[in-house]
Amino acid sequence: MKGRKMSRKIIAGIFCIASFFLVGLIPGPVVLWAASAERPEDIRLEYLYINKKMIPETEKKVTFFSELLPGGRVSVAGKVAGSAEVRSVEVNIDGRRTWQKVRLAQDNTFRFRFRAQKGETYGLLIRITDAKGNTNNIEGTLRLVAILDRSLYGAVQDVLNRMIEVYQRRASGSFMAYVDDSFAGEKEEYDRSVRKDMSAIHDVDIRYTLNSVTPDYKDKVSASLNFNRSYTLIRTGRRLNDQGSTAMIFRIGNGKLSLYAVNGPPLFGFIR
Amino acid sequence: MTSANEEKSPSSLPGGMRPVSLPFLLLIALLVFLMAPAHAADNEVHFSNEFSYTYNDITGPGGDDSSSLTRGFRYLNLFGFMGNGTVRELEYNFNIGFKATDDRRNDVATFSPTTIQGRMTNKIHTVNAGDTFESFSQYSLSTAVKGASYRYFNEQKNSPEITMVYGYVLPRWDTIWGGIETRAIERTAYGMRIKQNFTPNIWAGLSYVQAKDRPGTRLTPTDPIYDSNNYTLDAEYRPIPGLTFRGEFSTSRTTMSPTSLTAQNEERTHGTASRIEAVGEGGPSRVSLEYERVSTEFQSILGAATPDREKIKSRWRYTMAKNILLNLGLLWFRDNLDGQKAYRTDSYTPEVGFTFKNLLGRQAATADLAYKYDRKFGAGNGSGISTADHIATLNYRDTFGPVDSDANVGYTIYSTERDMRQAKEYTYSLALNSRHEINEAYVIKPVLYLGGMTSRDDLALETDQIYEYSFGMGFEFLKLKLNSDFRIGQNVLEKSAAGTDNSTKTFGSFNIYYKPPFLKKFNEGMLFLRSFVNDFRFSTQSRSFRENSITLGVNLQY
Repeated sequence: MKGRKMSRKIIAGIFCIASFFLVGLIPGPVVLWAASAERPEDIRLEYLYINKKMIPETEKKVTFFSELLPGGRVSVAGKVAGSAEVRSVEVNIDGRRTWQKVRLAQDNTFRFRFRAQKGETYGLLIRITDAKGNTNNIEGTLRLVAILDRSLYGAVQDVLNRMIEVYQRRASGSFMAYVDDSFAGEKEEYDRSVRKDMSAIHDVDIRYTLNSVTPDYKDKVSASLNFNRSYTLIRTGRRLNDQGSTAMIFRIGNGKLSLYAVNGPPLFGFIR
Repeated sequence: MTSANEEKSPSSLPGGMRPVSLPFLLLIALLVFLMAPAHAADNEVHFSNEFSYTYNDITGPGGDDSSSLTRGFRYLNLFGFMGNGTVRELEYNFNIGFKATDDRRNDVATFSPTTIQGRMTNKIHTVNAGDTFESFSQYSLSTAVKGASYRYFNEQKNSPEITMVYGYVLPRWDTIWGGIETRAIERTAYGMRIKQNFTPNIWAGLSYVQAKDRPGTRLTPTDPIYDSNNYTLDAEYRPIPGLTFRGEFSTSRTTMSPTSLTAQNEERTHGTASRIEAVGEGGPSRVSLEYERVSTEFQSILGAATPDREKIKSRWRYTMAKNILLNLGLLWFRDNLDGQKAYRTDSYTPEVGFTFKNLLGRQAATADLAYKYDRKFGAGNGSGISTADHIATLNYRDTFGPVDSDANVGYTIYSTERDMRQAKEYTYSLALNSRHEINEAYVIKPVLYLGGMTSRDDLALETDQIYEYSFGMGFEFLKLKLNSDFRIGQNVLEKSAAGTDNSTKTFGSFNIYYKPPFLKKFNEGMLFLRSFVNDFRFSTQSRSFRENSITLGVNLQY
């Protein structure tokens, strides 16, 4: 009981520290926002969405699978900050050669779409001009929009192969890098299960056939597969094998896949 | 997977077809057919086919019990037909796949559809049929179904986004039309969701899902049968750039029948689950805080939740300097929310990690150092016994001249009170690989791997040692479009405990992939040969066996 109380105190302490940092974050953007509001000559974007995903200023590159682009197009939506009169908003995706004027709504929001080719990277720039002819920091709006050359099916195969490889090597840290932070069922619990495998079995051989790869056309993809697994149980030294079907849900984030959920018998973390 | 002593479905027809399947299949077939490009103007249609023929040879007394291969000649054919395009204002895509094999280790059925999927949208109305994946929210729906969905969303008018989904939650298509090998509990899923974007920074969604199992489709008499309804509200709010609040609340009403062996056996439960998360991103920091409470009787059949859990989770990622990243995390959770268990389990997992880039001025060097303390009070086994594990890992990646390296070291201490377990574990691995191009015509890629683990049980005074080493070489003949690789190595397990087996696996593999000119019109179709030998030797000689396998195949795409 004493240990439990002590641990609770430690937890509470760490939680308070984390809360402090979270709260500490808030003043930064608020001050920036307030400062910019006091200086109407500063022309900038309030927000920018690319394919419905909000892109913060710190995120300079976004990556998409071409098969998930609606109509093969990238859609951009944004809003000019402040209430100052805006004369025009123009968008460029070809290295400043041609600027395309976009329609600005009364609330200073705008939308723009362009057809994107597989394997290409587009440098998206936005030029905002106010009534006095002042423009924003155009370079600050630069976002690289990359369209992957590979298919979603191939990406699922790649991430599964890499997970199997690091699982076989008992590199638990490298393995968990392929698991999403918001893993349903708790990432730490999954880490514990996978490490249990790594301690209990040896010489693992996993063969699988990917049956279907079905995206939700938002940010996840479901993959169903048949697997055939053999391994040596370290405790007894005996060779065992099994087979099964399972479904794995991956989150798609910036062109990369990370494991979000497992619906069915686990391919990894199966030793009880 | 099925077993021999299955409960006979009362509604099964000869041949395994169930009456409910027929209209469903016809509907799916009709929808997928409607999505096919009848008079399409801007279309792409592709097919792919991979056929391979394998010969597996298994020798030695332990082969029958331990090998994961099927003896003799076996074939595998994977066929895919896919397309996409635009017909007037309608965009469509479809994807149909089949598999044929006589290798029961690969599939229990000789011929089976792997994917049947079609989607059509005019940017406002979207219909999906066949393999359908609609993810509503964590507690409500995050499972793919075999059925159909419809979505309405007019982005220009900022209308509510309405999604409806219906289908079977089945592992494979041929479960629908029966067959003793592919049977599964027939679970039907219905769902509806309305989501509204109130401003670009606030949205909320309301979801209803129902999962209903058909009692007659139990595989064993003790398979639980569920009839569950979930009502879920989820929302997201971004008050200022960089700060996001997310929340979800769900309530479930579930009827569960645990067995068909007794007449009156239904259990009705009603539970709730809620979670709230705050994520802050600003400057060098990213902080997340999450609180979750899932009641003991909450059920999420189509989503994801762990019943009987209260949880707090926090994570802080901080870029301390240009090349140093700090990761701090803490997870606490407990069970026994309703006080019905004899012991409550509290789990605390604080962790700290550093990532160093450009370490010691080396441009390609990256080191990840992490420590995790895994503490459990009353370790969930009803005995009140506690555990305390320490886990430390180091990963170092670097490039030395032409050689890329990836090294991992791990050290774990397992400790369970009352002297139930005291153990230490060391893991280590090193992978070296390189790539050398000669005259822009040949590429050589040597690979070396060394790894192992030492596990020491301090109570039983026993030690397990594992050594793994392998060497491989890849060859690319660029003008010939021929790739090849071989790998040889050994994995050794040495145990000190009496009555257990030491083992050695000696292995070798050789593969060739060739894109001949005469297959160029098939998107550079490929011929391939894959072969391997695994020789397992155990102290108990009756367990030893050897696997030899050779596969010839062709992959065509058009």
